[in-house]
Amino acid sequence: MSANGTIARRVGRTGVVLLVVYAITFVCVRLTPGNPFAARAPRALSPDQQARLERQFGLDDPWPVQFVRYLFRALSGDFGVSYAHQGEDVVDVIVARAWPTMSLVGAALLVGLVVGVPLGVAAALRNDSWFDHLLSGVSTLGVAIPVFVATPVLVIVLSVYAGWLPAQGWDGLISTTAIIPIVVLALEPIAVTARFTRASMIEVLRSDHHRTARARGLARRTVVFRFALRNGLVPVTTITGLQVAGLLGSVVLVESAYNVPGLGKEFLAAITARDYPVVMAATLIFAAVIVVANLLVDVAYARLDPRIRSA
Amino acid sequence: MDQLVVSDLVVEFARAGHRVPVVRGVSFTLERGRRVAVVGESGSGKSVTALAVTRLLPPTASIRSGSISLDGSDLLGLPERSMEDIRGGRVAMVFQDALTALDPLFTIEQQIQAVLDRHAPRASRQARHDECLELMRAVGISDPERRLRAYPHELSGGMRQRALIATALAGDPEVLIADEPTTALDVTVQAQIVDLLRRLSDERGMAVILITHDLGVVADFADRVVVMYAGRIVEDAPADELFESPAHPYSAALLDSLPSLDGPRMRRLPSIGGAPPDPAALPAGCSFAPRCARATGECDSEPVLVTIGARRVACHHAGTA
Amino acid sequence: MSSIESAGLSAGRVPATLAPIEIARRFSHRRIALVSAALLVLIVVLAFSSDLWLTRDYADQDPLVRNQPPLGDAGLLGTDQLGRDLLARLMFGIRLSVAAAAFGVLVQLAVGVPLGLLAGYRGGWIDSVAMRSVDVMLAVPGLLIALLIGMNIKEQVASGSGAVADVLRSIDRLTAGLTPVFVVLVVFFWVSMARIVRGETRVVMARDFVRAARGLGAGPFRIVVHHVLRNCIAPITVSVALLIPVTMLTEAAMSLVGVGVDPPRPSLGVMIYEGAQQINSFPYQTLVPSITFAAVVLLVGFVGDGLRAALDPTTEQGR
Repeated sequence: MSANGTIARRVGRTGVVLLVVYAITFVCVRLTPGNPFAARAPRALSPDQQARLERQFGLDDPWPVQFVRYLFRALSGDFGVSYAHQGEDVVDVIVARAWPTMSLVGAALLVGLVVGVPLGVAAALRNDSWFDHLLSGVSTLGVAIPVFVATPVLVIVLSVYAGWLPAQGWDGLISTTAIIPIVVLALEPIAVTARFTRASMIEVLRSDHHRTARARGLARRTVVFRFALRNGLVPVTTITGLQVAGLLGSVVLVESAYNVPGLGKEFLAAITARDYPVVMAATLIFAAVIVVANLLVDVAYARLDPRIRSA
Repeated sequence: MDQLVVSDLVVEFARAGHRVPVVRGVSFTLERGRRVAVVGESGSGKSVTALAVTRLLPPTASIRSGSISLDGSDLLGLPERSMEDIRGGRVAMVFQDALTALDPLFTIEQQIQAVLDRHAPRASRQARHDECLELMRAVGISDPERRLRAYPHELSGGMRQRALIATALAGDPEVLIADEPTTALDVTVQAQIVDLLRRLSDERGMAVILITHDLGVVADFADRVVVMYAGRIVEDAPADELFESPAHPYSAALLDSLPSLDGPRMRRLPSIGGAPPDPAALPAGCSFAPRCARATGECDSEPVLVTIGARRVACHHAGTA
Repeated sequence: MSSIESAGLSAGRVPATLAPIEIARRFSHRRIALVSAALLVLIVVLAFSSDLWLTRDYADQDPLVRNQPPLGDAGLLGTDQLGRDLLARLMFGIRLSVAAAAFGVLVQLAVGVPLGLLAGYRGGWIDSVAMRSVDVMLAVPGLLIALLIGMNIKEQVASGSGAVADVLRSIDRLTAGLTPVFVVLVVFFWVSMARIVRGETRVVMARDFVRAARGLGAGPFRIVVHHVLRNCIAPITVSVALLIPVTMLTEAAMSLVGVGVDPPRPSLGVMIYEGAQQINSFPYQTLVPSITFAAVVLLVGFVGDGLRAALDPTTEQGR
């Protein structure tokens, strides 16, 4: 299988994932009973008004027609008009809120790697030491504490009692408001990355080629950081990709708990308000981010490991 | 003149809270530029001895006693930093399976260059690249320019083993220890690799210790053959003498298990009954006695390694039959 | 994503060569895991028997004792802004968590395991379809889809018409409002188990003794039960233990967002959310359920770690 073929197949699979997500979302939304307009109207809608609104939003057509029409419009960048935000284009609603979400997720991922990898390497080099055991306990903790628990706890400690950080809100990524959300989101990536790095580094340090490098008299620093680390990072890339999906879920809860005006908070608001166009668009955007992240991971994986490249 | 001297080496492994001796008082010397083959079944302690020389034993193993010296200086007392200068620079090792012994993520050139950088830094990029090419030619790799850019998995088994040897040569070592370098290879390729090692030894005046379980590959190679059994040397003799008339019953059994020259060539015929003893539960007396056709009551006491002419042998019956 | 699959397998793969008694012995040597397991049992027993030893119901409001701090006159953990007893609410919340965890285990065992066995044993198109589905499920934004499904089910129960809504409503009466959570668990929690069991099945099927058994004419049922399933016990156990926290988390997150259990039934997620509304004045109201939830999840995590170590013959004893 040529490299191009592999990539083509991956891109194809990406399309399938997005289509499935779209189908699930469409079915969930269209099958939900209740009337988004009636809930919003100040008084009961007459059958006439109801029919007019349904026609206006294309809801009177048969299902399959709606399914295909929405798909094609979405592909051309038209996600319709929000029900909740008075006549605003869904794309505008999304774009205005995408930055906080994506910067939080990106920062958490980065912190996860920057903190997790060195911790994992240190634990592997000191395998079975007190540091190793401490890290393994702390990482169980990091995985166990859900974000909707960590957020209020940190807010109580750092904002309510210590008064160091704001208790909620968003002033951009480079501000004190970003610290608590990033720390909360990064807990699990740090723990998981450290665990995987440790396990894979221990394996590498036991490997034949590591012994060869040492038998060539290469200094420990060279052997560990130039050769072993790259080997150890190969499985870590995969885990990093899988974490994007988890983070995009967590960020929804963190944004709502910390009152960050991002996509996640908007998604929850849209679910509560039955703002279906926004719900659909947000879900698709999140799915697209996950899928692109996985593609990037595949590329990084192939760059790190020549055996994948030529396989 | 003796270059490498190993005396009374004892190596133990920690296993389930106990210390299990795997090498039990091994002594031998290697003269400058000579070729020695260390032969024995797996578990005889031959690889562990080699790893002890370069101090690359796994963490569960430890050297209990004995000494190892290179040109008169003690290796076991050296700080780790000085040992790193020795490894690869003066004593290099080649391991069994080149596919796992080479780093899968780096090209052959990157792996050779790392050794060059460490032991023989060259000024210019070009000089380093030329040196890599030179090494590839020395180990008999054709089209070295292209092979240098290859990753280990892109080479054939024999080619990989040659590349591994090239990385070992990059530090220009005085002693090369090859631990079962042919086990993972086809029979014809095995012979080529052994030939290569002999040629390199001649050309570079490099001493070679070839560790193998296959007495067949050492016949044309070694000046001397050391036979190990259950962590001890049972016989150490000039190669021609050993092949002519093995003094230890175990050496004799190994020789008998070789197919005759005109017969079909196969590796290791199972002609020695029984299995090597568990190092955690060695029999009292001679370790080989339970499998030995010539065992007598005398063999309840452990035989010492005695010098008889040009050879050393550890058997109560040596010289009597 | 074959690369992801293999990484997941090697991370979760446990060689299954220990006898059950040996596993129990090894587990009992892990003090942290053992203590965690005992504490979990205690917590579960307390939660399910709380009606017997508590005087107040989780929904009882008392305007005279609103926002009372813990360790005061108004109960061990104090009261919330409606004067409801936090201890009673906490105990009920734990029951919901346990119910979600139990149902998640059921889905893994009743859907994931058979599907994995079938895919691994039969191979062919069944295997392809199952594994492609697994790939897709691993690449969807799980929580968002879960919330969407939750929203849908909730509306069906509340105002849907037709047969599906009627069925959901009758289920909802049986499950004390957990229907949206259960549906989400069914949709998502077969995935990783099916993948693990399928991988193990293929490994076991390729072993000589299974080939020999097939050669001797052993039927599929006998092979699956005698050989494959027995070798899968370790990875199945570990997977169940590792996913329990995720099931509890799903329930809490869905309830917190409003597509899970309805008020006044207090899911731990709902308690955390409601408490957080008063975080400046009465931080204990969110702290108590938060710490409880984290503690329970952590205990489950320790038990899982202990099980994994006990089931893995390559880990040494101790601790």
